[in-house]
Amino acid sequence: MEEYRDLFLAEANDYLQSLNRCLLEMEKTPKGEQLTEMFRAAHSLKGMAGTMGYDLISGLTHEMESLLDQLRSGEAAVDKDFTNLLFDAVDLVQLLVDNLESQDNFSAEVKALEKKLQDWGKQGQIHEHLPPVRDEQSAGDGGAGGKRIAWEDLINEFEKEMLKDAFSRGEKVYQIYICLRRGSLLKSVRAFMVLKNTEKQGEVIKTLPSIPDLEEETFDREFFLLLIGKPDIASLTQSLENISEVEKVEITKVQMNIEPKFEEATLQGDFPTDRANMQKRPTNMEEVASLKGASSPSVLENSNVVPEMDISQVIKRARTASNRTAEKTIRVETAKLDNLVNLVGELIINRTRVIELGKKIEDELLEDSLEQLERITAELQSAVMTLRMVPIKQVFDRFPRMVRDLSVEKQKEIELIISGEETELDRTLVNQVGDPLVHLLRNAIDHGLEDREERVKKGKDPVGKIYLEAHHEGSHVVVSVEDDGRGIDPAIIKDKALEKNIISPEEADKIGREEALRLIFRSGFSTSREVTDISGRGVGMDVVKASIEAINGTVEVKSEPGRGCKFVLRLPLTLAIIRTLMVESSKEVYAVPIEAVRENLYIEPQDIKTIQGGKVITLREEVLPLYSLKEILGMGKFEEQDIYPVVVVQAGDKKAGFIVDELLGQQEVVIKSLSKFVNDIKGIAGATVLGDGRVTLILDVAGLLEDGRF
Amino acid sequence: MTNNKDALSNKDAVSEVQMVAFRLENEEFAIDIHQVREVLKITQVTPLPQSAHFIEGIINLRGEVIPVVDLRKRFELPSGERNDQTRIIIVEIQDSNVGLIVDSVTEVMRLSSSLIQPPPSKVAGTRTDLIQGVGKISDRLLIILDLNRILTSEEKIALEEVTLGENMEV
Amino acid sequence: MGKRILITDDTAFMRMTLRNVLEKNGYEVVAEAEDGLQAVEMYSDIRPDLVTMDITMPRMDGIEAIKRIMAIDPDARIIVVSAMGQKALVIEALNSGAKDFIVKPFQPDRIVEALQKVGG
Repeated sequence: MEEYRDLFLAEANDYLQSLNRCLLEMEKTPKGEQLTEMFRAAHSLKGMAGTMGYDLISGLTHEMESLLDQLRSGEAAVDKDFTNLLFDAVDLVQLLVDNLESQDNFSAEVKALEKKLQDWGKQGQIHEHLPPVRDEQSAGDGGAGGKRIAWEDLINEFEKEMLKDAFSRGEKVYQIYICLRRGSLLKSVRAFMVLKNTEKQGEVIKTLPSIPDLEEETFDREFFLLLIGKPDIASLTQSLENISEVEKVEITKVQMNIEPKFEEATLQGDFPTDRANMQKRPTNMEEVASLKGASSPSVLENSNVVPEMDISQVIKRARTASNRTAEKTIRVETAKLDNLVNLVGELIINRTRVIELGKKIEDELLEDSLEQLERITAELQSAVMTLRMVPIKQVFDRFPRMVRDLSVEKQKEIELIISGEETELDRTLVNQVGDPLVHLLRNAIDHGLEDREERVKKGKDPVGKIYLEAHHEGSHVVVSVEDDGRGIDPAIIKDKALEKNIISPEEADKIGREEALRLIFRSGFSTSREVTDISGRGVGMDVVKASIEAINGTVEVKSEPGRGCKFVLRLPLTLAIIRTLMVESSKEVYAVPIEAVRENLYIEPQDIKTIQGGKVITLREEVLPLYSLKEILGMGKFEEQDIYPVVVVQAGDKKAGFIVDELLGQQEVVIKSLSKFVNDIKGIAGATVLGDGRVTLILDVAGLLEDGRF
Repeated sequence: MTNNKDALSNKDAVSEVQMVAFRLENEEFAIDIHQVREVLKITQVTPLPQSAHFIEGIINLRGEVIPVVDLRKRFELPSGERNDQTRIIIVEIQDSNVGLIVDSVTEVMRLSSSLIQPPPSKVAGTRTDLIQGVGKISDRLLIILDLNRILTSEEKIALEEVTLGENMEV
Repeated sequence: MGKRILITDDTAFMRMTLRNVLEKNGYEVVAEAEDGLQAVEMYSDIRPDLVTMDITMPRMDGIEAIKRIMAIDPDARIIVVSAMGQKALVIEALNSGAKDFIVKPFQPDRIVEALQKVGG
């Protein structure tokens, strides 16, 4: 069971997230789909938890599911109290999921909440949602074909919609029972042939067992299809019987009770296999009654139709609940992916090396094949990289709930507007961008947005707005958090920084608006007068900045006092491999991430000017500070030369020139982290191993340009 | 690591520990062989700017980037010249690999735990974090290192105080 | 009258086994092809009623051969002969136009069943 736990956790969290999202939407505009999706999520959770033996979770989700089911049929009202109750339930399930080991500690809470959920459902009846079966075939003709699967209880809302649609087009529903010959091999392919043939005559909306289970051949000999359409039963029967190793085919028309107002078209005796059924056809109402009161053992328990399920099947089934196509995705252990990425990284490095060597040999054929190699490895690299790309939605999804809770707590009305959540970036980055965003959002709610009165007084919309946005920009992902609150006043920031000795009075005189705003990223700075619950003590913008820079990103802040504030995070698409410019300085090679390089140039001594003791150059009417790389790295003294190679770098909106000894050219490198013992060196982003085995440091330009050097 | 220390000094006479012995300046040191991953000839070390003074830099160990400590600098000894005897001992500290540059590796030896004494009391107060004990084999004295704080402790170690005066001469 | 059959398999043993089973059940084996390419050539010459098609073969595999035969004759009746574990290939073959499949090592009655069902 242990091995399924991770899978369970991953899936459970997905469902919880979807429950949260639906509840949030429902608070705004209640819609039927939300109920349906929530019902499905609760149902799936119940099934998964039940299989894992997590009784508290399955019990609680059962109550949620029952209540949601009543709601779908309009038996209970949706209001704020209801969503709050469900939020509580979702939170409790989350708590249980997060504390699987100590679930039992929460049994009192679970019991209490289950009671509340039941009470909410008024006196409405709650019925079991296990798939029961109406066993019409007690006389036993040997086949299972007489069995009528209780499809009503198996199909989901989506499938119900399909059914309603089909009925409106005058189509009918058929159950197709197939029994294969004993000892049949490649049963999944037989099932595939059955499906393929059946689908020529209509749409198969459900199978029992599910498609993935058919694919994995976790059935004995029998399976069922639910077909909608206007099939020619005789020819369908024949085409199915003509598949070899199909022993038995039974097609039965099914009366489906989709909803109370549903009117079943009269049954026409248009197919031969349904004679018996026709004669003893129950009326709708009878059928419904027998379904509701079904206490007969389920098909899962008393026959071979579906073998005992294990959790992975249950989860898979839940995932593909509404899906009759085969799964198009697989889950892969991230460690395997990381290993693949690393290997590709090594391959790229060695390719570079081989290509260098190849150039020396100057053989045309060799050059051609090396070119091929270069192209293929580049494609391989980008293909592998896309494997790790995930939509930023994964992070964004948790924010609506957080903002909602904070807005309640802070008694501020807030609308969170999210866009670009489909933007993809590297999985490792997704993991690391979450916390900084949480902090920025909390900051916006806590400090940025005014309360209602203040907003009304200022003539603003009483509802504060926060925009969370993501988009691609070249090889970057840009994520921004913007609010329409009170904004940040550079003058106040400057005063605070002075007060806290973060800057000297001289510095204060020099810095402009933009630089003043950036002071909030200095450690020890916090604009909040009181320490609030939300933003907390000790975690400031400096931490946000540090964690973004740790993943090679940058943070910028823009603000118009009184109008709002915007934080812009620029992140690399991927972490593992970056293109760099190799430079030499004091006999060592350093790699400068190409993202930070604006241009390379050679300057002469007379180009270097001095302002306040610091070197500068003028480049297209822009005055740039100029540093000797060996000096800022503390690796040596600046030496006079006739000509200086210079790398112009930029981080955020800070630009500078680095004097190096030599410019060596571009190279792709795999970033390796430095040992934990030496990992926090300012200005060093990491290291990489070159083709010849030498270790080269990768510079962190943002770190080097920091510290108020200018 | 006080547990280790106790374990070493309190073991009965029968038990033995295996140590890798190496030389720095005129002193002989030893580390528990369980912490030693391998011994390399000195190779090219990439300097690491703005790191602790005793960090020589980083090297590539089969694709892994690991830091290398110049033990002479760590113990405030005059820097010596690198030659074909110079070795990098790769040790594992808190699940990470670290290289230690030593003048030479002398031998792998078995040392009866009865021969290991706690660090001399007069120096114990200042450097217990780096020295686990002192081993005595006839006229040789081995300073047994506790590696756990070799990289993290920022205090400077004056080795002269550590050694046992003239006794250390071999 | 016995149906005319073309057997396609790269191993002589399999061809012989198939021929024995088929002839014993009243089918007429009109030709044997050793690979896909030969099968395609023979098909257009002989126009058999049924074809058995191995999947893994040199020169041209069974899938490609099925596609080509179906291009020549959309009504061609081809039965795939597959080994266990060739699920994906069998499905591809079926999608390419094969009518049915049998799994090696096969039981004579299964072959006959398939031939009867496909052959009509």
